[in-house]
Amino acid sequence: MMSRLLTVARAVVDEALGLFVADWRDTLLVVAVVAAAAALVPHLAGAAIGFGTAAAIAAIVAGSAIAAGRPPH
Amino acid sequence: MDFTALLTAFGGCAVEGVEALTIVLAVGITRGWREPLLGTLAALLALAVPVAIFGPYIIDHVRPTTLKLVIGLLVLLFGVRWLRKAILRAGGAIALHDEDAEYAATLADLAVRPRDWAAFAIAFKAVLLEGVEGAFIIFAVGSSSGHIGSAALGGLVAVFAVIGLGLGVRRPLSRVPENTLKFCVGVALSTLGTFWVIEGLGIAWPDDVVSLPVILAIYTGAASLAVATVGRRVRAGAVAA
Repeated sequence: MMSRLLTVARAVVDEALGLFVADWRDTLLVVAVVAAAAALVPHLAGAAIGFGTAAAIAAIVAGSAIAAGRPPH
Repeated sequence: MDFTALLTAFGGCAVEGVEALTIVLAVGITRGWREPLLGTLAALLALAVPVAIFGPYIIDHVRPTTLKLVIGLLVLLFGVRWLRKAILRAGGAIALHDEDAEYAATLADLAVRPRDWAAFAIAFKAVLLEGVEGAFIIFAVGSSSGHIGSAALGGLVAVFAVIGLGLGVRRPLSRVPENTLKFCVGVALSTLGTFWVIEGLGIAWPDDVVSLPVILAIYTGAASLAVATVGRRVRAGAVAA
């Protein structure tokens, strides 16, 4: 009984972690973009930071999907 | 009532509900309905109770900007993950989620398990695992937008709609456009996550009504371009093979 509960608990923890970190490179890039946005707050207008962040992350997602979808040679 | 929170929670919970329903249906049709329905109820309670207890505590005790930054970042990472997978499926680089295959696999698994508590356990585990994502969407979207009631309502409506459809049809809901839903929810979560992260950094958007559609257009445009590019490469690879 205990080992079954532990198996289910481990599966839930794995699932929860996997919600946000399916690909480490994408995760690190997104976090880096947000950190860069935070660093630019005193230097740029809010709209530029906001829309620039959205564009950068959208490019990361699109680029990651295109790279992953490349057929094997 | 916040319709953005309601619709986002509805879409996210509907996708997860369809995946959980496939497994619960397989168990219920082969082993009877009592145990899988009890397992489903137990899993929903196991998800709802922590959200109901810790959700209001977190909302009341954490600074709004900190909450927006942290939850916004988690929503953004979550949305980006869904969107990436939806792009790959829409482009044909990976197979669409096949509810019929999932149903057949569950039947095969049940055939080799003893009858003791397998029906309860399989249903409980499926609903719990799929429900983790749904519960996260409800909590994150609701707390960051300040409309947890709207998000919870959207999630509840989705759960009941999927259960009602499933019990009525008594087959895997393989005709539900799951990947299209996942694409739309991925775009919505990426948009909302970005919006909240920037607000969490203390930056004011020019105008909410204008900014959100612009961010949505950026993600939709980039994702659509990626789907077209992935699809073109997959077809070129198939022709060359």
